[in-house]
Amino acid sequence: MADDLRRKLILRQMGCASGVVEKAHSPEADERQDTVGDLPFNGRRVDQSSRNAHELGTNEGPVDLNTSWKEFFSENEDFVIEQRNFTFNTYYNLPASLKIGATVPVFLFHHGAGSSGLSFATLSKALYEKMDKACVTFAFDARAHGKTRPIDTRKEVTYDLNTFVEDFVAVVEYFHHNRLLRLAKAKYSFVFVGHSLGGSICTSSYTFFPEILRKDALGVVMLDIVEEGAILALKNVNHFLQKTPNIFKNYQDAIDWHVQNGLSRYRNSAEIAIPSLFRLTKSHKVQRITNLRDFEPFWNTWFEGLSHKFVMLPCSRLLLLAGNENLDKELIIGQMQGRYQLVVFHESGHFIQEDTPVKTALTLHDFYIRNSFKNVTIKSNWGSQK
Amino acid sequence: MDMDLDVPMHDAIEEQLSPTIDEDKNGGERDDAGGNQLTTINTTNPNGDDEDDDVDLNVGGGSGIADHKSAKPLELNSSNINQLDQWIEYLSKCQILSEDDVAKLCKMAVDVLQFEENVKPINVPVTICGDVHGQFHDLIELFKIGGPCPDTNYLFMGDYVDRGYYSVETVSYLVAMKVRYPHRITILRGNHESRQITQVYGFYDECLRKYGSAAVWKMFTDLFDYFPITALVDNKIFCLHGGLSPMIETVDQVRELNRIQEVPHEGPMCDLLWSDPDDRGGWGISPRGAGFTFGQDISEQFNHTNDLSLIARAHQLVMEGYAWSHQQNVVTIFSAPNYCYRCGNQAAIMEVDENHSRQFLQYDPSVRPGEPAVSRKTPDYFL
Amino acid sequence: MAAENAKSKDLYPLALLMDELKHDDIANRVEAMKKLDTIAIALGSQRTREELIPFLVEVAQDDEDEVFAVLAEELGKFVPYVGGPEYATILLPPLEILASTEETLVRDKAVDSLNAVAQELSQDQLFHDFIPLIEHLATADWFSSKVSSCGLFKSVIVRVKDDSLRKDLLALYLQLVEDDTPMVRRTAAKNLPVIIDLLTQNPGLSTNEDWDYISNMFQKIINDTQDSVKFLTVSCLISILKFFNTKGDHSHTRDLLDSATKLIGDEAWRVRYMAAEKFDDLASQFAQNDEYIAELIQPFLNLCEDNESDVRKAVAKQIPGFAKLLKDPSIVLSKVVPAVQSLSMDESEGVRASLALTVTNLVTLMSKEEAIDHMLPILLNMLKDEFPDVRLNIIANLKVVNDVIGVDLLSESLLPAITELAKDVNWRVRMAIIEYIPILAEQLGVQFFDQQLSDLCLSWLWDTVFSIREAAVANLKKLTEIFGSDWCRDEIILKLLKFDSQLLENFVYRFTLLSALTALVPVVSMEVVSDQILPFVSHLADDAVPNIRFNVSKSLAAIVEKLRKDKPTYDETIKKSIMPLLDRLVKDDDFDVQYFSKISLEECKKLLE
Repeated sequence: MADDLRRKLILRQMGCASGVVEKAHSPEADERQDTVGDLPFNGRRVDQSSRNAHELGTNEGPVDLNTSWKEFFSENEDFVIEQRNFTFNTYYNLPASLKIGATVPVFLFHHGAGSSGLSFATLSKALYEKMDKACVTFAFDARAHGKTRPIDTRKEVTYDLNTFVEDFVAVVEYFHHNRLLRLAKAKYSFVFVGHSLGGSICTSSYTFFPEILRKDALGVVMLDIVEEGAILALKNVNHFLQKTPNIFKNYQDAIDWHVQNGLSRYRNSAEIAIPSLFRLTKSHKVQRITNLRDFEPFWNTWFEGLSHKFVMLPCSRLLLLAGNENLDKELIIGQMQGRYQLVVFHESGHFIQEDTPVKTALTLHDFYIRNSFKNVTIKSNWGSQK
Repeated sequence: MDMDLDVPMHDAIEEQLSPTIDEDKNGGERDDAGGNQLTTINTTNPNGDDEDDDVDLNVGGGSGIADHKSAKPLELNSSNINQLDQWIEYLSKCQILSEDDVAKLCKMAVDVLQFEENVKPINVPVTICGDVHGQFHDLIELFKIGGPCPDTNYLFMGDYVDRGYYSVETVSYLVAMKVRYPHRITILRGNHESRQITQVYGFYDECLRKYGSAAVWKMFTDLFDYFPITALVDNKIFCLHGGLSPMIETVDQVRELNRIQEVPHEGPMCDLLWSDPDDRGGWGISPRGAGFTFGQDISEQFNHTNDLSLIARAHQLVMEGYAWSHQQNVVTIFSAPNYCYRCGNQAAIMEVDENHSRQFLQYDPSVRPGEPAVSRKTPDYFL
Repeated sequence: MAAENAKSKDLYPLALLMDELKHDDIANRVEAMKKLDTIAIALGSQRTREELIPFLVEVAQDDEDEVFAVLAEELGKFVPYVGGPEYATILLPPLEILASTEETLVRDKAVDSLNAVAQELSQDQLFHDFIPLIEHLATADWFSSKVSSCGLFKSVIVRVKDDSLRKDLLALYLQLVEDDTPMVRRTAAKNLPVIIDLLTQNPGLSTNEDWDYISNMFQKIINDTQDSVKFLTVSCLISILKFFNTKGDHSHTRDLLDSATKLIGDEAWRVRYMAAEKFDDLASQFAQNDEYIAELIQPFLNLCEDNESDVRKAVAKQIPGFAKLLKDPSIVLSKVVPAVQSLSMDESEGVRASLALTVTNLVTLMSKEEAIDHMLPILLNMLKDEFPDVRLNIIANLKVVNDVIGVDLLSESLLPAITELAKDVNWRVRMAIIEYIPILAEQLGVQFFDQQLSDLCLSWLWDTVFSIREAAVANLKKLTEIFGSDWCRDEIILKLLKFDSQLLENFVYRFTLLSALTALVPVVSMEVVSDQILPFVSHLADDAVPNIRFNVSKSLAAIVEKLRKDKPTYDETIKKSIMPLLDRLVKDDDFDVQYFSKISLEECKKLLE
């Protein structure tokens, strides 16, 4: 036993934190058993994605960013939205077939600061399968993230909450108007799912959607975001950024680093999501696209009043937390008054959609099913006895 | 010390009607032969009839407290009274019992509670209380306001554990009082008296911290299965933790339920522990993910059908400690002041005297030196 | 077999400890650490030195702060376990490591333990091991080591008889006082008074050279740029004054008085706060010279008018103490009383409550007339303060006022103040006033009480909060002890028994009445018990509520306990009316009534044997 302690000491002297490595590996192994890897591939695309995300993890060759998304989404499209001065990079799945008169669930994802639309890749796929491909899933890169680019680079760019909200509303409207409405006539039911800052954006966006969207909005889901904790954590961001390298030798190293440091606990997700955060440099290294420090002047706008807004939303609400339940006062009161649904995933890290895509998909599926009953009569045996 | 590593700290999925992964439900027992471990998902029709759901996952859960149940109620004699009085004295100072004593206490409690009815009849006068949630010192404050038991008769409507820092002390104390004075105090089951919920909201962790293993948690959660789910005060006030169920039109229908089981994810027993009254009429989907919301029309009809004057329930935080709804057909009582040491709410209890006059007593948190600092770890980043 | 047993016993503790010390859960590791002494005893001193301590040195470098904190504390008790003082120095290396950690809690525990170990060390060990350890810590690069070193000088300073070595130590301490890091300077300043006080206890020890160093340190601290260091000068100053006063050396007093006035008027409010908080102690150091005291009056009055309420709150408590130093009563009246007057109307309730704690003592410095003219109006006004704590603090300290000016003049304002408190919405305020009632009763006498307070005392019995009703019952008992049985019968019991019968339909009222009468049994005459109390209690034996019935049983036991003392008179009452009642209650339908009646019956039988 003392040997074990000594081993720990030696490891520490070598600068190798043994715990971290172990922690990073085990959940991965667990999750792999029952999830995406074993699910059948999206039929239409399977031939094109000869490269299974799993294989990407083995050290062979560079990550092919131009094709790797295809395993998870059927479409990758640029939305050029002049009024926002951005070309937004989007990914989505449309229903495999449309049943007449059926309502189609539409899951619209918004990632958090420093992440990208492909953060939702594994979740989107699991959800699409779970919904028997009869739903829409949609993710995109927000400004200053992933492959989204400004149209006129001379114009000033801001990152306050309202700006993100306006982007989101514009992108969703564009998608609704130019894609969904052009499909066969169908009834849609929208679920807005945001991770972290994305959760704040989804919650704030609700009132800004046009009536045509709002009347069919079923609910808002926030993934691992609590106002009080987030505001406290902003104080630590600089510390976090200091510890976080921005340049890696290659994509593989970047993935490895994120997995080893516990930022991504499920390798399959990391392999699709992490590369999208980086661009190749001339010297063939990879460099982080998003500079979180650029956002610092806008942090104070991001989370203020979030808990109250969330609890008061006029649609169904689901809050999914990772690790421990750490609600703030407003959310505790809201929960204890039964105003929203709370689910906690103990073993997940902050990136719930990446760490536990299958369970998250199940939870979203059930949230949708349960709340779509809203317009259906509840069965009761009252009166049957008389 | 034997850490019970068999207990998986799963995503307990709270407040959720459905997606439940079967392995969660058994409080971590692995003896269901491995095979069907993977994700059986019950979807989602709240009135659905998946019979495979919840089949005997509760009984024989392994803590052993129910292994030798007596065929008749526990008889108090000078030796066990002496033992109980000692425990109560000890517990009243916010000290925990040894694991062995908890085992003895829970065994005795099974032999008291198993004989109580689903609808426990209660006489007036009685003082009715809501959620306590491990706020032991505030429970002591409650007795300072309402008077000590057994001089005052009490009815607690569930949620003794989770969230506060003294769930073990709180539930041990109340159970010991219940065994010692079975006719003076009634303890109903709340939605937090469940294996699954206690793994998310603190009771499980607290047991591990205070006893070094999950054994005490197993004993108490096994015991929770025996708690009565409703009470009827003098045939006039129907008391329960949550609210009404679309599957329960009469009090007699409650009597027909098999309550000795883990709180199910749906169905009448779940609803009684989860539902909330609402301003909207009729039945509604509960935003909590379990149970239903019910409107004034429903409450009025239920009270009329069952010749009741009032439904008293807990379950929801109300800032004044109590709140009327549905034109005094329903009252909510919440007895954890400054809930979670941060919500700033008052607490209340309701005294019902022999003539059915009701009096609400509100109170604030107890004054005590050195509230354990609410140390919440700041996440590393949160973007 | 026996040998094997011994061996496994032997190995078990260390193995178990080590096992627990690498447990994943920090709580387990902390628990294991707490059992360290048991393990050391089991191992014996030699193995403790040779195996356990080296192991702990390793642990001290590789765990969490919570574990370190326990380790640091445990090591302080370890001298006996390593084989007594001669081996005690073996504890210094792990403690030195712990004294250098970043976490304050760990460092503080390590410093305490080092000081405890130092007590056990011989002079030789002190010079060879402990002082080098201090030097090592004090000259380390990292601030945490230096901070810890500040707390260790007190263990050696008066044990060093060699003047030059002591001078070296003080020189080292001066370095700490001058350190770049405010945290080090602050700790050095905080520990300086302790060192000076030790020198005061050994007045012959220190040399003038030593005092040059100390004076130098004092100058550094008083001129520090950081308020959080500077405000510690007040305590240093008091300690220095005590030293010179002990030595009878007044040559520096003038200078030190100047330092004192400078601190009292400092720009930084924290410095002024500290001066206010310790004003009494500080001023007493100048008591030998009336002129010096006179010079402190204006600075004192300035503190009373300070902009910061915390400063005013601190000085408000110091007023009678300082006033006592002013030997001229006319100054108290002309200078101090106006300050009190204005503090009694301070905008901050905390200031007013703080003033109320001690202000009544001022009347002892005055004649009766002066007290009536100057203090009474202020006190009466404070009794009407909107903040309950102010009123309660005054009421709690009224005795001195009563002694000087008598109750009559007070009563007019006292009553409304009490009535007001008796109705406060916060039950703890009501509780506090009930607890003062017996004191007031004693101070004010029965006549005043009957006229003004007895109804109030009865009304508390019907409070909605149980604890108030309980306190009201206890209060009646205490009053009866003061005023006697006849008073109780006429003023309390007869009034209670005439109580509105409609209200008695409520169980809470019947219960309270029963409790009150039962509580009075031991303190009233037997006649009152048998004639007034017993009939009412007996009547409740048929109450519909079981809770009442089992309390009747308890009450009957108390009555028997009382009446058996005059057996000839009450034997028949006991046998004919009480015992049959208990016999009946033992057979009650309710389990709890049976149980408590059985207990009472057994008790009575034992009493009557």
